[in-house]
Amino acid sequence: MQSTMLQTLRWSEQPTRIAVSVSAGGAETYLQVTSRVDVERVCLGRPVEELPRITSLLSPAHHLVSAMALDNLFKAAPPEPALHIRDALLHALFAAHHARKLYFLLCSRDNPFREFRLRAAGPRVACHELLTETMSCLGLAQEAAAILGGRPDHPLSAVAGGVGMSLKQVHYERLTDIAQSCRVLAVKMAHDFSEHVLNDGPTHDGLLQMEIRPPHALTLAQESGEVVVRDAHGQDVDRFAPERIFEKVSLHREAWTYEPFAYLAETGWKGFDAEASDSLFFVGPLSRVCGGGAISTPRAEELQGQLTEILAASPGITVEAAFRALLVELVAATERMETIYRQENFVGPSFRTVPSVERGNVGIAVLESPGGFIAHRYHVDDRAIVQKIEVLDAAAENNALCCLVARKAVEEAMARNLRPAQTRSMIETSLLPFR
Amino acid sequence: MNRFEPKIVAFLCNWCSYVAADAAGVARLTQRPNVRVIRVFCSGMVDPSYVVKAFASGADAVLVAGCHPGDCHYIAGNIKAMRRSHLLSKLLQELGVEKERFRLEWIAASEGPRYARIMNELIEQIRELGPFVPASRNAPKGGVPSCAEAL
Amino acid sequence: MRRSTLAVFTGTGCRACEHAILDIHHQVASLTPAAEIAFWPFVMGHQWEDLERLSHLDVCVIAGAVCTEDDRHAVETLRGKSHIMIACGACAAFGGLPGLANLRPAVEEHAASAPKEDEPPSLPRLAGRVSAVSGVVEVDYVVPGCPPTQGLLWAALQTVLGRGEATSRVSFACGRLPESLALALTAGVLPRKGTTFGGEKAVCASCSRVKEEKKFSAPYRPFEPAQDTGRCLLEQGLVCQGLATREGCGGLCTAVGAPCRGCFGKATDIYDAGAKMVSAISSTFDTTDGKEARAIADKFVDLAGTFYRYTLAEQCVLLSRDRKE
Repeated sequence: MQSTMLQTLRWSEQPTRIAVSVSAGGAETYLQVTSRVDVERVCLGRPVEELPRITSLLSPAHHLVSAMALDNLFKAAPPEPALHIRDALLHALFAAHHARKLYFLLCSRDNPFREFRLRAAGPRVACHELLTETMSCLGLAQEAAAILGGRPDHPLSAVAGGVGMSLKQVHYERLTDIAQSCRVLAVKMAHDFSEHVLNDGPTHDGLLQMEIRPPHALTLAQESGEVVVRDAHGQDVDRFAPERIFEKVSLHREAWTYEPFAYLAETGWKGFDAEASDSLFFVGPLSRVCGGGAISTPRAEELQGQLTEILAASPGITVEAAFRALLVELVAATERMETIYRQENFVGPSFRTVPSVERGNVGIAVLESPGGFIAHRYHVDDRAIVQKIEVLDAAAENNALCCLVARKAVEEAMARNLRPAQTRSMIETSLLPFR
Repeated sequence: MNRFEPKIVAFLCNWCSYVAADAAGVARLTQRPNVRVIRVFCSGMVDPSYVVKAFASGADAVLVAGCHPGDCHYIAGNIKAMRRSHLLSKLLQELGVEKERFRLEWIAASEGPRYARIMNELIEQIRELGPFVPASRNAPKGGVPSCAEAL
Repeated sequence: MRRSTLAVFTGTGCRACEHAILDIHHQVASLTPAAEIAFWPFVMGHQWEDLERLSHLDVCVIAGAVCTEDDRHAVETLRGKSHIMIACGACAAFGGLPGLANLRPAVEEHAASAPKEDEPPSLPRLAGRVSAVSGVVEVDYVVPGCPPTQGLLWAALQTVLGRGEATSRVSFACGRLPESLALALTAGVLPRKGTTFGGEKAVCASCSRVKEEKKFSAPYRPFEPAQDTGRCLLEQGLVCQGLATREGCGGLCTAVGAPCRGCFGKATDIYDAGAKMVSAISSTFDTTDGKEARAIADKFVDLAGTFYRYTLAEQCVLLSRDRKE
């Protein structure tokens, strides 16, 4: 038996490595998350109102879902301006998250600190320019997120029943400017990426077209507010109220990774070995964009239409489609930013509803975050101290898919006899849009 | 086997409790030798960090003693000590210091016998409780072995 | 001038610190003349072998807490090779949020066994206790914050990578730094080892809220009745860590109405942040009666998790230091 270890995968939020053991029976690939902050242990015993700030260490969007869970716990509906500020923050996070992924894609062949060179890309496209655009878009979205969240990366503005601050005059103007510039940049990026990068891009030949038999897609339907699980053909498998998410989805742990695997509880854990397993699902941009209907901004809708056409050609999900979904959502987010980043949306008599005295003992909330569907549920005692916390994170939900992708990439690489460095690079790029 | 001898740090106010301790000695009252006395001008000047530092430096219990309310040489220093003691005791308990290990007592200058009694009681109580071990020490092996040990 | 070699690494934590480095707008690219990135797995995809090949690193920026034996190994290896090590962010400097796990009983250790034939590969063993990088090895400089503020991070990178040569561009950060440190930076000298890139005083010194010396008879929690805007949060009865925390952030959190939680660590001359907070909070109790004082104290919840929110692993005197025998 021969085993290879690909240490420290690039661009992964948690330290991750790939272990491949080759034996007569074939190759076994393990995607190992080698360390993980034990959020449950960190949160237990804390006053519940502190959770939005603590859970933001998972990702900035967890700050928002956590505040929503508090709204639910304290039965306090946030006033209009507060909802707009939260929504505005969410879209800024979307734009920043997606722009960062695309920026990483551009950097995949070179060092971000040197001038970027693109291999054989279209008719003399200045890739440097595209990189600058992506960086600017990322920088602007980050700035918006810092204004709306109070701090970059770990926001702190959302509190139970609303937001803890109001915006200032300078902010309104700056936000409007940011939204406009971001939208222009995003539309241009969408064009350049799909024309020059994704068509005959800088990544390994065939990688973008690598096809994975998809698990189900799980999304939060914007219109009905229900959680929808669809199969690869777009047929509904299940629909349920978001409050039931922790009954419907369970976590499975394996001894070789610290990241748990989310699966559909009704079907039961069948291992992700069988590719046809109907207990697995994935979340995120591709899952949402394929779901359709959720996008209502003109330019993004057009892009979504194009993507749907591409997808219709093949039943599986491809890395290319996942990157295209990022572009669609980037454009959608910036278009939304342009509509909501207006002063009249952010002003009002109050920013926070003071929670009523009779609160429940359980708070639950779900949200479509940039990385995918996330959910929080807290159980508190009568002093509002956290007794039990359940967190459904996009990383756990996409863990099974990522394992499948990694496995597929290793198979591809072995079939083509690639060197370990190339294999690793291939895995990294193919995992990038999913985690 | 040696009997466990607790180390007790006592912050005694210069005007009342220290005098009481002195009186207890002069009156030749029986006292166990486990106490390290620190004379302070007022129980109100015993900052919570002194208490924390005493525990961190190896004390098994800390006693803060001052004048009875109303008798403070500095008008209300002992009231300040009292206000702090509740929250401090709560923090210490959360950090794994049992409630019995931190005490605030009012001992007037004339209460030598009371001083001796409180001290002997405290010592016996702590002896039963055992030495103070910070919670971190209860963690398995105090953390990861260094990589040299692991290999 | 020879370019400094730079390594950037995160143990266990989030990537916010690395994003913070990457996001210093476009300026990070302007470091190129001064620095050569030799090891940055997250952004550049370097492997452990790349690090092994390097005999020497000039600067290592390290973030994240130490939770597993791999983290520890990485930190020790990087320390061994680096001339200057900067602990970046609250996790590396004081244990950060992951360090809060130390308040709960340790999880069962993963049994470390040699991988056998046909068996899935094993995982690095979890430490019973989470530590900061500064608790495992000695670090030269500290850039605190969760995530670090751009100005201070930039000042630190510029100073250390340029070996004190880049003076003009750090001046904007100097306003927040103590005078001695600011003078060192502008004079082109490397600051003393062990320097923290932050202020000397407490956050209150730069917080814009109005302090009135008022007392309160019951603490509030943030979900309880709304606050007066603009007044000191602590005086309103909200637990705010500002007066025990190092300044340098400019009062970011209090400016948006969120109480400070101490991500810059304790201020200079404070022995223990929790003890300081106990002293400060109880002095505002509006009572002289023992029972009332107890009743107020009883309303406070989770003191340890609040006072040592970001610093439990390293700066909580009772939980982090070895007890002297």
